[in-house]
Amino acid sequence: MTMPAVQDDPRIPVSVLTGFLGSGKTTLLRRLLTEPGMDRTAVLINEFGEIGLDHLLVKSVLDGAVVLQNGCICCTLKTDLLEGIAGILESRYAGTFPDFDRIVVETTGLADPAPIAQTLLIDPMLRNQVRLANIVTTVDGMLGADQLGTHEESLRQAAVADRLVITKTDMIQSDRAETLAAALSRLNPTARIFDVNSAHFDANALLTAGVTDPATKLAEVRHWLANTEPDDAHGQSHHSHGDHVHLGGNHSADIQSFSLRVEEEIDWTAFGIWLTVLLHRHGTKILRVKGLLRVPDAAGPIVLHGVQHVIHPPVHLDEWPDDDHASRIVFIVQGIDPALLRRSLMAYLRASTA
Amino acid sequence: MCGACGVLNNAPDWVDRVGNPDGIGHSENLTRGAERQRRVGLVNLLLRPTRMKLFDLGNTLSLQGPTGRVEIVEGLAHVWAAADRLSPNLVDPLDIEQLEIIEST
Repeated sequence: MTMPAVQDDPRIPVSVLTGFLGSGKTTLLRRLLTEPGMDRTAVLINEFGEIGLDHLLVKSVLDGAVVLQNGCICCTLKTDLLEGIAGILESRYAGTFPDFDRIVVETTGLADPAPIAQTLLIDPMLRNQVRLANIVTTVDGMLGADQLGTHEESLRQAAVADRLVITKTDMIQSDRAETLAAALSRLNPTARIFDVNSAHFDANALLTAGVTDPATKLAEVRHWLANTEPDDAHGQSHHSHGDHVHLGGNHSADIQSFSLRVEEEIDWTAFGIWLTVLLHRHGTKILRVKGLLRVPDAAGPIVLHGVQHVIHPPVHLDEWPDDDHASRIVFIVQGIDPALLRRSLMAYLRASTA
Repeated sequence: MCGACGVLNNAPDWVDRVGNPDGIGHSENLTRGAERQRRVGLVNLLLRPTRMKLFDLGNTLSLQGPTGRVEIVEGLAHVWAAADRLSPNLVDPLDIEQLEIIEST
């Protein structure tokens, strides 16, 4: 397998591998690292507990692994992750660490991946040297539906993912895997869903091919839009509500995804200021935002995507992914009324032109 | 505080159009000063319901709270954090009362 190079971005892609306890993160990572073309991968593992078993598993495959020692990545990641990535970058430059083309950060099963994204995107040193690639979330094919319904950490991990990997599908009936995939798709319609045991399993598409990769960004946006078309007269659709996905439990009840459609051109500065204050006030409840915007004075459509408080640098597309040139913005939120959010955006955009 | 440029951030932000290599680009007519002034006006649309106001002082920006207290701010994110300190009435784009004021603009 050949990993396509990013044509105009020399920064090293960092993929975040997350997933609930026992959902198969390390097994997946171990498999990925044996794939052709994946040998130039540095791995950062968050060790949880006294025995670094995960570390040993990966170490046996790849020498270039560093274990974050300070327990749960949720609360220690900022310094640990910064030091971990800075350390391997410096060691690589010094020639004391094998050269690598990408980094994978494996979190604990209880981690919220959003602070990791925030660290990668905001730290002034890191953001010049690395870029956030995909957030990959493993979901246990046997237990995933129950875990999503009863453990908020699991649900949030799935909601923020760019890639959802259903594991252990060889141990369940195919219709059960399909039901879980359908539920995940409603929860997070922009994520691509993989069956780890599929003959078509594509490690490249899992880790690095995404909206920040020039070679794949158009296809990625097409996938977002294919699953999130607005379907009512108000330019708004509700594609998932937790209590419709039959995941069980209570945590899923207030997470939902919806897309907003705006026919008029969107003033970039006005939209940015509105989104900035929205994320300042409600960022922890806005799990993901992904959008394709028609902006005046911009050469082509603009792709916007973010995780909670953090927005990635915008991505230009040379062409529209389809004949529909309206702006479309997908939100995955927890406890926010989609109608109110749309009303707020439209009121502010109108006021900004008054 | 970046007193050199006075733009609503002393490092490029994803919103920035002028002088941002990672930004979305801009027309030739858009200058840094014009972008800064427009941003101040747009921020004030959101601040108005809470009786706060952002001022562009040329190379600095100041945020005035509802009691007249002033804070110097250095970036867009800092505006909202400063507003939280200056007013117990938090700026919230999803607050119905604030939204109605914006809708009446």
